[in-house]
Amino acid sequence: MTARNITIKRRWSEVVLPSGMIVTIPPDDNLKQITVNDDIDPYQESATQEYPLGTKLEYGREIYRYALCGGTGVEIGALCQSVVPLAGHINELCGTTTIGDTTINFYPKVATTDDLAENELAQGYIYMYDATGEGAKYRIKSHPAITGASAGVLTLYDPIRLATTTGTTKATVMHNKFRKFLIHASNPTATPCGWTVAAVTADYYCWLQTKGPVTALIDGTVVMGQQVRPSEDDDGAVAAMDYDEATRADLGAVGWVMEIGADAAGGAATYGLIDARLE
Amino acid sequence: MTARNITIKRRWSHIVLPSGMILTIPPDDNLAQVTVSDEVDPYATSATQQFPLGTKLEYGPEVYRYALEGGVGVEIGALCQSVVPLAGHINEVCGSSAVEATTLDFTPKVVTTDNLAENELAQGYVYIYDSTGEGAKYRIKSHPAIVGAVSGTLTLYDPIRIATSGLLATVIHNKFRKFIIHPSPPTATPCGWTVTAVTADYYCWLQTKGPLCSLIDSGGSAVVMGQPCVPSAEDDGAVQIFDPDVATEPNAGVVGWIMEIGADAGGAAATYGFVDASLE
Repeated sequence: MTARNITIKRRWSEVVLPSGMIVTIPPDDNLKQITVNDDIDPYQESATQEYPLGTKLEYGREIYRYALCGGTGVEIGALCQSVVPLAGHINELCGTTTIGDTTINFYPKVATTDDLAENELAQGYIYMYDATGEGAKYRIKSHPAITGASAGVLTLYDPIRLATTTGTTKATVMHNKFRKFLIHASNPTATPCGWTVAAVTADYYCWLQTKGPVTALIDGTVVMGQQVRPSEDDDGAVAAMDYDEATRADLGAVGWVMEIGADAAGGAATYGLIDARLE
Repeated sequence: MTARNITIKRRWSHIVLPSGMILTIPPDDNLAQVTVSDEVDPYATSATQQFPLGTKLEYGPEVYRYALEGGVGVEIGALCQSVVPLAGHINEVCGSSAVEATTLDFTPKVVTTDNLAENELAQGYVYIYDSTGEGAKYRIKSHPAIVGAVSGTLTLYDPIRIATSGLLATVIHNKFRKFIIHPSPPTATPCGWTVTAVTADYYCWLQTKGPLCSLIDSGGSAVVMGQPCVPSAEDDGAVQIFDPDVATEPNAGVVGWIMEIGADAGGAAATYGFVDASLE
């Protein structure tokens, strides 16, 4: 068996806190110090990172995921989405690798637009889009800043299982789902990733709720006991799921209505209560 | 409370490995030896069984289930389905059992076609389809080979809760036993994606939740970033757009969300998209 390329071990854990909350911390070699207190406040935000992105917090029937807000703050009760993959990060060249390697070169397409800050892709993925080695995904551990459409070395957690070839293999890189989330556009342009449970400051870390009862911005008339989908009109809101409604239903169900609230009309108006089902 | 009929105890567990992976091992009296190393490789396959079927492995946002391939071999990034229940295993005669009994006789319908190899149904279920005791399900522990459409005894993990007498029962294989690439459209429950090419009759891990590579069918309409996807009605093992306006195809059900759209698989391994799987 090929071992994961994880340096820090025996720290990542699943802990039942005295309050009954359960925190599940995934491996993240870039986070040297994690302090787990007797209690975790899912409504709190911070300027500094306290847990790996995607850390799971269960609080009774509610589930939260640790996330980083994008460069624009988000109001309370808003459904958010992941960052949209850049065109210049999709189906691009990658380097030659052999089985067992834990690094791979990646070439973003366009100078400036597709530049990557140091560790911007950490806890994200590179996957082989086409040709030799296709269909394999690898979790990214770290990388230097990659600029000017030149090759940068990605260090991986998962050793290479299928060799790749420069000039042949095409790869796509994906940010971590919970990194730099934004209020969902209407329509959403990337995967829904959770609701804010407090107003979140730009570039702050917070918890997004993904499952269980959550207050949500409401668009139009929703029906108690029925499903909702992301709104096509109001950013961050949910609207009634009507499977006969052309194209709108394609946005997908994200929860069930527990209380209907009222139309958000594009901003923080009134709130409904949704039983979130993002996981 | 009636105790489960589990012989081997205190071995089935929920373990956080040094790497941060979390392994949850369900009870399986047929697996005398389970070795848990410091690390489990979700991309490894093996000819011999190492964990109970359905064992759960969490690796950050990803969840995997331990499974057995169904005899053909499956390519990487393919959505798979469970084995299809046989007609002769559905609504068939079962024996009489008193409350708290841990065995139940079952008679498959047809000679040869519906024969069962020894323990083929282990970790699967028998449920009472109709009449007295109907609606109850019991997890199967073991059974001998059952051939020739004659009665065979199923030993259960779950003691009988409602007495049965001359009833009709259905038996179901474990969801992760002998999976196949999903036909288009699927004919049984989706059970996970391959994360490596899997040799026929090998054990492996299927990914059921979180980001993964997937064959994409954009032959009809292209999949859309941020929207759900369903099993393809045209390309085996691929996913396609969830579009309720299309007759019948969306009935296959949402299996994940599109993180990156890839391109049409054209019925085979062409290019791959990225899907946030939501099978659990």
